[in-house]
Amino acid sequence: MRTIYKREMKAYFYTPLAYVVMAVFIYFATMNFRTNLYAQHGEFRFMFAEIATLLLIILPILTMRVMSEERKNNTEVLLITSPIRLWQMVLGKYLAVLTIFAMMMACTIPHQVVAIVFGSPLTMATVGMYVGILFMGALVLAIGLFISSLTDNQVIAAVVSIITMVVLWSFGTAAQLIGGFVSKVLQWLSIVSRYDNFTKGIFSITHIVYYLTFIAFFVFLAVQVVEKRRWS
Amino acid sequence: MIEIEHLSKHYGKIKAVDDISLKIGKGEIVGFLGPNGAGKTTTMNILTGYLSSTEGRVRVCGYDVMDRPLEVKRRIGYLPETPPIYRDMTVEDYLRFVSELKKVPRNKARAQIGDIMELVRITDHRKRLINNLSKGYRQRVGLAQSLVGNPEVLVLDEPTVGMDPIQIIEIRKLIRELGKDRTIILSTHILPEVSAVCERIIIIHKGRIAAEDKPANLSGGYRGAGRFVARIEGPAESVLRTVKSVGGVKSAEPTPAGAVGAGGDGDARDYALETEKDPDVRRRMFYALAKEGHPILELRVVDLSLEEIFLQLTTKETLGKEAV
Repeated sequence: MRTIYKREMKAYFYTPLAYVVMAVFIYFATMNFRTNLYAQHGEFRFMFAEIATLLLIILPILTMRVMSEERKNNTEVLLITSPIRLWQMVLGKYLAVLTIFAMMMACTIPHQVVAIVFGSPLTMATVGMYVGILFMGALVLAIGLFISSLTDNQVIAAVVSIITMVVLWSFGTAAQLIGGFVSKVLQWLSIVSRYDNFTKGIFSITHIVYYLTFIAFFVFLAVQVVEKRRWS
Repeated sequence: MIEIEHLSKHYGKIKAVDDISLKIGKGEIVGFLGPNGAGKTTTMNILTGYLSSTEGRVRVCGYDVMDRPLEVKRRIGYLPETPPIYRDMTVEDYLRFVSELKKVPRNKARAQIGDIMELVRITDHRKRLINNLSKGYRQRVGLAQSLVGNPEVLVLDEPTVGMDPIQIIEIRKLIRELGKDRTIILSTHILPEVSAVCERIIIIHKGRIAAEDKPANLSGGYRGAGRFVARIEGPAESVLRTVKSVGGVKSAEPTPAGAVGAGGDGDARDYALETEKDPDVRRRMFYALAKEGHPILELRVVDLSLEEIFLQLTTKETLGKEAV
């Protein structure tokens, strides 16, 4: 697993992909932080809401290649015929994209430092937002990983992932409009709504379990997709 | 070393591999021969644990591929049809990655990679990006990859594809060398390749084993009748009359290429002879010609080329099926 992880990390930095994605992310995150600077406040809810939306589009670009590239290049054969288990291979890849994402988020820490220096103390809500956004992003990555395992075409993987994310995101908005039982279901499925609770500084075990369960589910599905292809 | 029992693989209704059984002993070099789509690659993919079989068992070094995949994978080096290379890595980085994948101990990895690069002659290119290498060199990198971890069994799917003639000769030599202490299975649709490298040929056609033998036996066994080319001195009419009078000679005719004076042998010319499968025909022919004063300057056996055997086997099969 470590071998796969290391190779994946290198792959992101051998190619411009990680640099480009991180640069775009930092640019937009900082543009949002500008609002804080102008208004001179330490309220990060809006900035993080923007970042959350941004991630729904940017993270699929990170995951698009993760499985599909191996198939396209026939390197999948090497990995599968090596003495490692399939889940180790998939998990190693997942952890690598997760690391890149964590690095991206770490790039917003200077914003916090600026806020603290100018007299706006770090609140639990802000910490909550970081935790929440990490979990949310981790789920987006897991879904992206799964979708990438379905195709050998990176562009298709990216487009389908982004559409999926936008649909899941719109569930939250739709839920507010519809109401009733359907609303509850949609709310439950919306990956962004879950994240909202973290922004209020609420650390609820159920939310964490929700994210972890879905992450495990999609990583598991990705393993199954690769496994199934061997049999058909 | 490798035991395949009643192996089948179906893709929907298509039978890619259809009831293949096979045993390969330690140290053998076996060639899978067949046209494209015959099932060679599928068989190899199952053998190496990349694909699963629909039916049947495969055991490598006593371990079942299905039950103990890791044990099997540890013992097999596989070069698939398209070399599984990462174009964004340098040759050395790539081989280091593979040796980690194959769990080669760290302290041994460095020396081993060095040896392998030397063996397939890519040491000079070790710092280059694989993307910038030519097709033949990428193929070598693929071959190098299969050698990492010093596996007991090597499975090579069309190892010389994309190489120039000099490289091909080199790689064939290397494969023979490697075969001294390893079991090697290689596939190809280039016939001279198997006869140059392999000790045993398995002809696969439409997912089944169409024939299996040593290269020499295969060509001999399907000869049907003995075929020779003889260079004989003397007037053509007289020579032909004499040759045809020998018992066992079915036909004799001058070859178009070996006309009078060819090769500076005076009025000798080449005759294509077809005889019954009887080693004594040549002796009788010798005495008969000697008596008539027509010396034989040259006599060589013409084996059916593997191409011809291959065509015979495969067309026979399709004809048979159509008849049913």
